[in-house]
Amino acid sequence: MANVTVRLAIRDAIAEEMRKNPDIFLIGEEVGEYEGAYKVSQGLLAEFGNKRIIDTPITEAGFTGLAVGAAMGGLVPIVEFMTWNFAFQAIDQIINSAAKTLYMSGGKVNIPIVFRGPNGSALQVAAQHSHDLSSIFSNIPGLVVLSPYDSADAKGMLKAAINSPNPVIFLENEILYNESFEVPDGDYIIPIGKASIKKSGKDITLVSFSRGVHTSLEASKILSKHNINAEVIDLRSLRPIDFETIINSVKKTNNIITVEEGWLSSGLGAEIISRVSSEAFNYLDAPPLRIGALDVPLPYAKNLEEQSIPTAKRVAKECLYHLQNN
Amino acid sequence: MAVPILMPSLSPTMTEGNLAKWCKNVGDEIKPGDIIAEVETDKATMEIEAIDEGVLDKVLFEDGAEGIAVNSLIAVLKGKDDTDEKVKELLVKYKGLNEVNSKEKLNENNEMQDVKNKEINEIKGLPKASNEAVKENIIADDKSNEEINNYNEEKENNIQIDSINTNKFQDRIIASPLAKRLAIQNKIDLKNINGTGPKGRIVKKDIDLFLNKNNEILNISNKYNKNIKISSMRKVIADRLSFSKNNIPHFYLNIKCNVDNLLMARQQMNENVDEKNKISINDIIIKALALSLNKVPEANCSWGERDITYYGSVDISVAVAVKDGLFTPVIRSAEVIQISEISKLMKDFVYRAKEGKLKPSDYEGGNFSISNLGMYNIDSFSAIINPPQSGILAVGAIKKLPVVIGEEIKISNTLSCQLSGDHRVIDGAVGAQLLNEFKSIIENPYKMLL
Repeated sequence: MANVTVRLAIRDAIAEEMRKNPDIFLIGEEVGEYEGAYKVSQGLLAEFGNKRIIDTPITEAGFTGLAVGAAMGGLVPIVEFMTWNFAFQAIDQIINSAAKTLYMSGGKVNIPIVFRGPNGSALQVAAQHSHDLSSIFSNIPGLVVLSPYDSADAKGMLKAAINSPNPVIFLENEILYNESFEVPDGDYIIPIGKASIKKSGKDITLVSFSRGVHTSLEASKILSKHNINAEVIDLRSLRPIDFETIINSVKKTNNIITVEEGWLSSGLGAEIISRVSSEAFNYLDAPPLRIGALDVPLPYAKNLEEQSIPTAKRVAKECLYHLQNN
Repeated sequence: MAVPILMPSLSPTMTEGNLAKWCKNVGDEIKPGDIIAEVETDKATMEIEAIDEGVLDKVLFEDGAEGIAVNSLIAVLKGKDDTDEKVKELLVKYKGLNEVNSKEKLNENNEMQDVKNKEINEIKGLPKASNEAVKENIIADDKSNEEINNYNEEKENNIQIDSINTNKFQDRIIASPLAKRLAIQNKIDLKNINGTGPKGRIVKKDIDLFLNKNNEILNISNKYNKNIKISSMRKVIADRLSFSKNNIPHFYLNIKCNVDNLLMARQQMNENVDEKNKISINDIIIKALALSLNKVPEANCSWGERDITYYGSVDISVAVAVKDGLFTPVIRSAEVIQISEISKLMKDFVYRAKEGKLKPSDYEGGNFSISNLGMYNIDSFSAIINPPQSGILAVGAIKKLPVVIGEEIKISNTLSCQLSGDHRVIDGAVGAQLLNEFKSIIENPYKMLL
């Protein structure tokens, strides 16, 4: 076990897989010479050279299309978006070209590609750099959507993504890059579609992903002062979702609250609660609740930004109010 | 002008109240400040106080009426110059208002029906269409569609919603899906369960509580609690002794008396005396206490709010146990009457107490009490003062105990007594003086001759 930042865990996953498989290459803006806008690709150009670590012009649609084509041709591209906000430029390549080709080719053409980069809000980068795309991609059949919280998962899940025969959306988080967590030694893979119980509890299930897991864990500390022992589930995989783990948890706690940094409308919380209501209705002791970002483009102003994204305090407060009043 | 009396809102959460009882009758004159009625809220019973003057002319609810909405008219106060017309006008006005209130309730129910209709439409995969459109889409031979049809017709006809129909929704039990499932599994009727969740929802906890309670009852095999109405004697005992313990600063002094001489004296007193006239130890104790109080008059007194009363005679209240309670008949002027007289009086009191034939004059008054549990084999105990008296002597059983006399241990008959004193009027030293006087008499019975 070593204490490693999420940033390094991602770099290690890429490097280890690239050493094993010469078909893997990394492509994106500033991934080579600059070693990544967020320094995720540190040392990769030096090790693998500019045939496999490819700097591109600022043209997301262009290099994403190129990468999807390469995947069709048998290579394994890892596409880095400087932030997922810029992937809107390439959304046609991701959805129409990457996600749908296996189906439209009658199962003949696989697209083994990973799209990755920081997703959602960071600190004060304003609405056009703070978009959380998790629910958009989770809506698309043909895509796998992963969003890790800690270093161990980031590494193991990215390896699973690289080895997946399907296009994988890999949603990282800028603030988490710098956080350190323990990472197991050696080569390992976190299977796609498996959630993780970050904290076991018996009174209420909090389901979240990415930085929301941190928020939920902090909220559970506040709740414990009110004698509420919350179970915190890290989804890890947003598509497919591990409903088995969630429903088993709800059968134990009889209460569920989802926490996400994205907007609530047609969001992941809505999806989870819908499934829980259908499949574990008779285990619910209270109406489920969703907590998410306010229904506005994320403000730039620090105070307003803080008000818009769920904080641990807000999550705890909403949980308590909900449990007592609804 | 006629004054309406409305169900008051006594707390922010109160929506309806129960009329516990009327404190005035129809026709009674009411003055401002009079208590007209007692109203029970979810939390407490409160009094409705009159603000205006008049005659209680009409009462709209009986004693014990429940669930009266806040601000409903419950009574009418008729002023001096009011005609019956005025009262009637008021009644019409408020009856109208009450009807509006109940109509609001009906409307709520209608809304619930709308929701239900909507739900049904959605379940059937029909768009949120008007009732007409729904009807058109219905296939005649589909049974469940017929139900929808009926529902819609019902809805159209709901101008004449009857009480049964409204009750259907009022009686709905709100329970969480989990609670419902647990209730089915455990064969519990949700009607028997109190919902403690938000908005009164029955939640898992309530089911668990109910099940545990039932298990407890099963475990003690058909032992049920029963409630018995409190008798007036118990009520008096409860009130007086609670008052005493709450208000009188009790202090306690213990003393042990050697009663070898006393037992011998009693034996001699009772020689050639027939059984029913024999003197008891208790009779002698009464006399001894009376004489002690006579010697220490500072202890023979009562605390009053303004002054302390010192009594001229020694009237001893003696606790006599009866079924479900006790009486304290009084031996008056016990310091002057003979032991044989005390004995006779006591025998009569005990007999009449057990027969329930004591008169108030037998047990009213008294300056000091004796409670003797010697016959129940109690060593010693702390008694509660019988107000307004200044003290009570708690007498235990006579026991043979080893006693150090000089340098020797001897077996002697020993009586333990404990004095409870009212510290407002007696101090420790006075109490000690009294007890020592008592001990000296008990240990040397001939002193009773002095």
